[in-house]
Amino acid sequence: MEQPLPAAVAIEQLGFRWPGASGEVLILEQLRIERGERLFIEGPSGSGKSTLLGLLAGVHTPQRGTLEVLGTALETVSSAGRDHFRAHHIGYIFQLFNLIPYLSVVENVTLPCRFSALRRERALRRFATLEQEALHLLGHLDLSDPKLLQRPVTALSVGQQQRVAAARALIGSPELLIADEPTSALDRDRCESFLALLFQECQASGTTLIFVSHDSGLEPLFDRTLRLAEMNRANWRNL
Amino acid sequence: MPILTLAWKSLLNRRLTALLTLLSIALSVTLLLGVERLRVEAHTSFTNTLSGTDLIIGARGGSTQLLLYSVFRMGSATNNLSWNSYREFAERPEVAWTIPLSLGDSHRGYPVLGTNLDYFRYYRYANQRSLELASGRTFDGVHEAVLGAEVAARLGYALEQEIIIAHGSGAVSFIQHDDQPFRVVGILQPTGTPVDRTVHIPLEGWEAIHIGWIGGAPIPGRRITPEQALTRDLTPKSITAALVGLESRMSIFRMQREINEYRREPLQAILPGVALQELWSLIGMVERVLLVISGFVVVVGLVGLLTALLTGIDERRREMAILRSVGARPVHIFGLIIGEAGVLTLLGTSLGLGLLYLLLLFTQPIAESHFGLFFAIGFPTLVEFAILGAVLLAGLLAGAIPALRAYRNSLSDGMSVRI
Ligand SMILES: Nc1ncnc2c1ncn2[C@@H]1O[C@H](COP(=O)(O)OP(=O)(O)OP(=O)(O)O)[C@@H](O)[C@H]1O
Ligand SMILES: [Mg+2]
Repeated sequence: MEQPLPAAVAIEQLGFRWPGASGEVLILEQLRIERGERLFIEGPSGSGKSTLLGLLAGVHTPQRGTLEVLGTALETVSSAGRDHFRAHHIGYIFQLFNLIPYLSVVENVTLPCRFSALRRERALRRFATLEQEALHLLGHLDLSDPKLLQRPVTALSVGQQQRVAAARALIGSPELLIADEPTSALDRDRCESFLALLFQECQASGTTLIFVSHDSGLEPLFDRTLRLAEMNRANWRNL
Repeated sequence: MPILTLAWKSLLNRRLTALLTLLSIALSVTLLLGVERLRVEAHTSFTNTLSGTDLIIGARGGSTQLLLYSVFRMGSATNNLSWNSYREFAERPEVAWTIPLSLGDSHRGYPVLGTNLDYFRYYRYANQRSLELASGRTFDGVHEAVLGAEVAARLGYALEQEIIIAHGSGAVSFIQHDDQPFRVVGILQPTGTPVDRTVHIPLEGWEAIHIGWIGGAPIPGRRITPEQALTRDLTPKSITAALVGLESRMSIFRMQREINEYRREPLQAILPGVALQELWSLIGMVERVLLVISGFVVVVGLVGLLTALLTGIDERRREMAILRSVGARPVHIFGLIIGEAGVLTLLGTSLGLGLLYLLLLFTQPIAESHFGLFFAIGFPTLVEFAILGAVLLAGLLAGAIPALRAYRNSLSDGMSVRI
């Protein structure tokens, strides 16, 4: 009988303090995110949304508590180990300026495969070359115009840049996709079409999506909403 | 490895700065290598001026002065060496050969040397190479001359050319031995030594043009024709110096002492190898200073590299955060920046080396004909490889400073992107 897959995220009694800060900015008693879930995280500025994402991505480690991501207790892993873990299992989309200016669109998309053999291998399972896989993903995200792909990435519109970033986060089918306000610079229409494409791709590869936004209007599109201001027991307002 | 291709692409993206940095490194490397080549070449050509001579005999005086006029044909002797003393030493059993030298006159600024056929037989330069004729023959008659390669080339002289010898060594001399012209019968191959700049005449000819001269001036009204000169006894009374080769090097010091202690006349003997070395240690100073200066120019080039990379680091925090987000470790960030420094210095030093060879290719003929310096366009020497290695290492060290900064940034920033 098969072992059930561990949860995407399992947090218990987690406390995190920035180095040099007077107190903890993030205290979470319990948080569980299931595989394949689409989670919406909202909260006012300073409530620790980005901090939480940084913890999930293994950039920071909590000072106390357990932080299990995909069954790996990240708080016990070395920083190099966490970098490997991120390379293999996590796709990340920033709010803005996601792309390396001196790489082409396709090179930007295949970038994670330079740092993770696992993701390269997974990408090559579907296509003979990484470029083909990148073009496939870009096509799904409505970026198939060859002329557009030839342009320097700085000459793309913000919406196009965010979709390239999404393709990069999705290449090699990472188990977890983390997005920190990726739509805040997009207008309503573009935002919704971007989300639709993102959902479709996540669903296709069974990727868990953790999505941060100020825009509570997007809430209904997700499986579940996490209100960090309420969950975070830390006195973050006075830090 | 993936990080190096990133470094390369990042540099391509900043072509202009990268190219300027690269160029400044390349030029400084060319300068440094060029000065080093010049130093080595000047030294070899300097020590190559004379070879195989064990002793130089002249009137007592400064040893450097003796070396300068007998080997480099510069300056003049204050006193002469009598023919009798010269013959006495020349006939000693431990002496293998001698070359008598009479100096002091000139032809259009080029020194005229009175000597005999032993000069062409025994004179050696640059590792035992002997003089060779490019055309004609050695002198036979009293009023015949053999030209050094440069004299012939510069003055456009061919065989059969008649030349007038001027009294004294100035380029413009008012007293000419114009009553007894000389005929060019031979022209020597270039040697890269002062021989190229010398007009050689037989000692008898030297004697003939000075008949009736007292104290550097002709007695008025006592000019004679060449034909009259030939009827006189042309055995010299004195010469300026003599080069001596011994049968065995074992007797050098004994011979030198005997000459220095010679009773009948104040003489001195010097060891040309030692004297050349002494003179070089004086001249070589300039060369060393030049080398140090070019070393500093390389440092300036590398400081340029440091500035170019360092100013970019804070603007590139976002790029680093993106790289961290796709799984790059802080060491990758370090590697990216130091990779850029490495690529720039590697290309810079290679280009510098290339420029050096280009420069050598163009200046080689000029250096050889004008300064007698021969630059072999061969593989870089061990010292040059060491210099290149040192520059490369210094470039990486300079790159380590911005790399370390980027490394620290990416540790503290993590993925939080700052604009
Ligand atoms: N690198 C850092 N070093 C120290 N303190 C930090 C760092 N990044 C964030 N903080 C602090 O941690 C707290 C939470 O910040 P965080 O960026 O997680 O908030 P957020 O919820 O993402 O806000 P926003 O909606 O504005 O992005 C803030 O008080 C912030 O000042
Ligand atoms: Mg934030």
